[in-house]
Amino acid sequence: MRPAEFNAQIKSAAKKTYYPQCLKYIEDNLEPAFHDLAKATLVYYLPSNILDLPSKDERKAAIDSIPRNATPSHTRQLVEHGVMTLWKKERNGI
Amino acid sequence: MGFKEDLKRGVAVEDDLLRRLRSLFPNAKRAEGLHPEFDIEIPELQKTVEVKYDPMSQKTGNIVIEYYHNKPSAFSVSIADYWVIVTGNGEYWFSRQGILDCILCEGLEPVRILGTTDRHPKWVFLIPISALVRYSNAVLAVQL
Repeated sequence: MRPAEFNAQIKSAAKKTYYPQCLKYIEDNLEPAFHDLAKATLVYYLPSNILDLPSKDERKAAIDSIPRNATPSHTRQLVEHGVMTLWKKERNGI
Repeated sequence: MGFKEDLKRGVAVEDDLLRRLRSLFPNAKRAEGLHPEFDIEIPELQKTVEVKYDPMSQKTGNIVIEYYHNKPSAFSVSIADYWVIVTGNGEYWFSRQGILDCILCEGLEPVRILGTTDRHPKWVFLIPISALVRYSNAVLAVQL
């Protein structure tokens, strides 16, 4: 799979916003050999999609949908930090 | 440049940093055994450090941050509090979050590369040094 095609698939997966749905998209659309890579890459695309959710409760629910033992380790921590970072950036108009 | 040479140069960079850290923190030590989560531990501060030597960045202008190499690797698995990136003409200190902030705020996309000594491709972020330094905690000895 070409990197551009792979990245496009991960962007589509991340648009599902809630982690279980993201994983389902990955499992339904990518060959098993790419699943671990896809999960590792999802971390970088998920924060902006979660931030786009219309309410704080929905954003919290999306973060809470990531299991604490998701792989790679620290997935939830990185996504949560990423959402906060982008939120601060948006708030400060940077 | 072969794998052994790369490893040797990387170890020398770690040794140099460890020597300097020990002048302030005598108990600083290299991670024991196979420890992909960090390279150096500073017990006095309860902090850990990941050291990365990236001399190619002087030519390309980009720092390579790897996150997948046949399995989650480097940035994906590191728990180090600080990442120290040594380019050969400068030493940059980052928090792990700082690097993530840069990737997200600069809208960087992952790319696949195959190093000359690699059996499997790596998935990495190529981060322009000029962008990454804005997220740095400290920059030491940059020669312009």
